[in-house]
Amino acid sequence: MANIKDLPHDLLVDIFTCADLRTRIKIRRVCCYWKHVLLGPLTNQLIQVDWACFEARSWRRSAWSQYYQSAFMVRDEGEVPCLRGLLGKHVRHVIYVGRGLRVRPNNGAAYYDYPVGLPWLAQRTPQAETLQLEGFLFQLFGGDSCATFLRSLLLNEFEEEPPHKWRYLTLKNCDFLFALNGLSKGSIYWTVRVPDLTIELDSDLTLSRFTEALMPFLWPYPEEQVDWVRRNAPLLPRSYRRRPLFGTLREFLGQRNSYSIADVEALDYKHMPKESLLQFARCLIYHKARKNPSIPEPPFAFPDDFQ
Amino acid sequence: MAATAGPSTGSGDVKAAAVAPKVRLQSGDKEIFIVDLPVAKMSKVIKGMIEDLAGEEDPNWDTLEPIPLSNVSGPILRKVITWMEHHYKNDGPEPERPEDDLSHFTDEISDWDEEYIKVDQGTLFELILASNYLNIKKLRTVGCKTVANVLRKLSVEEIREKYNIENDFTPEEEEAIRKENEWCEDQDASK
Repeated sequence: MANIKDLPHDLLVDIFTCADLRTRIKIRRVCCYWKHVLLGPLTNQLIQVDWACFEARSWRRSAWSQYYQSAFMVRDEGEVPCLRGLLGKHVRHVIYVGRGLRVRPNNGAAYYDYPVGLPWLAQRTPQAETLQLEGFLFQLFGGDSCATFLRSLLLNEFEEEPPHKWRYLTLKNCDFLFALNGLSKGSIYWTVRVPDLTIELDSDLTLSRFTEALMPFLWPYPEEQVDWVRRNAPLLPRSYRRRPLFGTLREFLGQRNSYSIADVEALDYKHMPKESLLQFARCLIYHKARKNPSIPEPPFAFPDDFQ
Repeated sequence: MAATAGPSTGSGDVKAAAVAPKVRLQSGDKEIFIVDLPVAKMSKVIKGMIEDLAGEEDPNWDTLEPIPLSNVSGPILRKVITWMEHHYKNDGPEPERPEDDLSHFTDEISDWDEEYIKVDQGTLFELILASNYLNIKKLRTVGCKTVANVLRKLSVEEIREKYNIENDFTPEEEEAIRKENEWCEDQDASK
């Protein structure tokens, strides 16, 4: 019967390529030949890490101290001996598996809200072209759109000089978490899942490219659905213009004390960012369910968690 | 021609109506398998052999000699054919990708493949070797990922024992790696 020892060199390379970074570090100890294969640049063209890779230095047990230690470690400029040969200029793809890790854009204070260790890793893989984020939960705040979020994520992550030149960003099974605040029952959350999307990044990291790429996930509906929002948005009572939709209206109409029904009627729904349409749609669904059942059903049903 | 301008359903009808030519494959232990030609062509090596044998003209497939695959045993070839038939039916032919493309490493293993690859480790390595020999990239990756998953779960000592690998490091070398690995070792110990 065949054994792993019967496999030729290139197959062993492929197997080790499938193993995540921590497994590669571990199995270097198996034998001289494995160590030789594992440290070859061919094996390490693709690097797969997860959050746990960066908490490994901790020897305390509590979750918070692990967190703290990991942030300390990834800021550390020193060389990590066990990564010699694994990271470096030969790495072309970086896969970061989030396993549901919730990420918010940096507001100046919350360093740990990033995918932990990404800038650290980027410094050590200067020639990598593709960054794949897998299984992350991106939490958007009030005024953020998905596109500005992604840009802030990449720019804030790689503000070091010179910035990292990623050519592609791939999102795999990533969720964007939206919130609607200011409703009588507190905030409502819903997510939009991006199963698999690769975005080519030009040198300017243009927002339009993100917007365009994300649109089919945010608003996979035909014209009639936009029209449904346009026709029914004026039915929302004044309180919606004061609270949950205030930020959205301010974006289009500028800062004012209040917005009238005429303002809502005059909006250009067709060319509105899809996130804003989702805000209006969410309000309509909410209002229909609680106060005004006469609002007609949308022509195309929204996903279950949206209801 | 009208057929080329028609909608895609037209080509589907043609495919269903025509009887696909069959090709005979012979395993290393002389077992003969009869496989639909497009299914067999999922292996780049078989595809190449067929093109060499057939030349430019459309040959009579029934009279053609079986294609010898001396490095693959009957039971393994049977299992490989099951894989090719399933994926041909469900995904169609594998898309062409550049030789140095790494994206296949990031594809997820489908539920069907996961079930398919639940075999003893001897068979698993035979399948990996066969898919490598026959050049079926996707099957090879499924196999490699499965082995990588096993390696992830085992300790170094368990790996040596499972695959009967001798520890050929000198005590000094071993100590050096152990030192390098220090920051991830305590994690292993806590498992």
